[in-house]
Amino acid sequence: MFKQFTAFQKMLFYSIQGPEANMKQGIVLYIFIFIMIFSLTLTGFNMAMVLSPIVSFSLIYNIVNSKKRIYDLAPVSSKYALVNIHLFQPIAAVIIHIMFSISTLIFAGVILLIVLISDGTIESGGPEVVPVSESSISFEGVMFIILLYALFWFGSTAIALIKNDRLRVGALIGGAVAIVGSIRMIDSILPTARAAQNISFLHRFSEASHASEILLGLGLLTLLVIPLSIKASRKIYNT
Amino acid sequence: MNPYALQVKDLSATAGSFKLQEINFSLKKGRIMGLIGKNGAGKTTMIKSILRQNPTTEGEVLFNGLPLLGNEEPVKRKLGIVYDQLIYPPGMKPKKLVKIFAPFYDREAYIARFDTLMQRFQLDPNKKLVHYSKGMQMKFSVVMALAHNPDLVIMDEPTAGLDPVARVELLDCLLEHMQDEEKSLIFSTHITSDLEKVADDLTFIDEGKIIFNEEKDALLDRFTLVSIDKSEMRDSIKKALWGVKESSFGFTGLVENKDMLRDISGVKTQRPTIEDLMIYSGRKGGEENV
Repeated sequence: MFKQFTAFQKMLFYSIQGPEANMKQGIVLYIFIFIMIFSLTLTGFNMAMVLSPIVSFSLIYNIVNSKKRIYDLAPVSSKYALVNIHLFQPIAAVIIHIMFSISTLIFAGVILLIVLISDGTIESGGPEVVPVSESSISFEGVMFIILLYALFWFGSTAIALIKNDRLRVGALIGGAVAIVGSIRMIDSILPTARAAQNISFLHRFSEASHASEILLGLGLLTLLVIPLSIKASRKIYNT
Repeated sequence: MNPYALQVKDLSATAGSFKLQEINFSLKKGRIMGLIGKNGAGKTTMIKSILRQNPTTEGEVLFNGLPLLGNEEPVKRKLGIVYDQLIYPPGMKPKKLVKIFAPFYDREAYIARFDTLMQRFQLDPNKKLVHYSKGMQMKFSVVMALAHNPDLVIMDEPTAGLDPVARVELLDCLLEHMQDEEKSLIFSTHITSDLEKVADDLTFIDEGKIIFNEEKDALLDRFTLVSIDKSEMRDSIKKALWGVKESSFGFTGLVENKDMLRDISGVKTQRPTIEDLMIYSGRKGGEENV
């Protein structure tokens, strides 16, 4: 069972085709990735936090619209294939997050090493140490990011599965505008917005007095969107 | 027990401006069907529509009596597909690829059959697919399609890009696979001489429509290739001929009832080849044949 699961996940991965296979689709996807990453990091989201779900979405978008879908050859039910397609995104997001974190650490280590070798000394004090109590994100912040990921995960997979090219691109643009617009709107009503540019969105959200109300709204939206997108995905996939 | 490996009923689909219209045919178990038609006639669109890979598909397709939708697992377990191009990642080695597919079948039997087929086609499993020639890549696609010993194999131009020796090897391998009377094969190709050797039935598709779908020998017996001197040509004969072609020597075309030519001098007749059927059967009496 587990072997079949990992084999199917590999089949999904190996169904990825280069941008040359569908130039138009590749360009749309790159523009989407750039706008999403640029807009969200500008709002104060951590790069690693934004990069992994968006890149993993772009992978599944490429896979399900690939002309070389080797996973289509596997003798499995459409339900099994669909569950695997949905699971590919979070699995890829975790792997990308780990890879990004490791490469960031290596990059930082190399820079530090270069500084050490060229100067021979490290200045006393080093980088400013931030107390744990100040740097940690509250329960509200964690819940916000979990709900946002869940919404993005299910909604974006349903969009990726749309077979009509124009409809899919339209839904992709609509989804991107909705996500970025909503986050910018929430950002504008956070108490410390604009004033403290160095504080991340989630820290400001954690400190907001009406965070619970926003969370409740987001939770209800997630409860509505997830079953709808599962139903839509099944219908689209079986068409 | 269902006698049909594949039944296609009122299949329609669109691909850009191209339309596949009301395709109906059946393939009995144990038979090889040759799918012929010129470039852009709709062969690949038809195969993709049968496999539900075209979202605009309408109609009913039954694999051994089962529709693909809702029966993906049993249908795909007994189905082998060869596409007109390599769909496997070119950077991968066959020995790695077979390990990915093996968990979905009887692992040992699958790998053993894969190894046998790889040896038969003299393909190196440790060499990346990108380093295979086009012909070798096609052979590899055939290996992957046959490795799970499917009951129905659908092949889109499998002999394209193969040299004559490789084509013979491939056809021999397919005939060997067909020794079991339950196995069936659909084989789309431009190289009609391959079909002369192996096909039991022929389906000719043109502009998205089936022109004929019959047993090969009955079809070749039904038609006669006729060459008529210019001086003997009459309108009544011209109307009865399929795909009339004029040359400096006279007219050539296919005729269904050769008896009508019995009393005419300067007529030469011969049994047509599949290629003749392809060339001449698109039009009858200068009009579209539907």
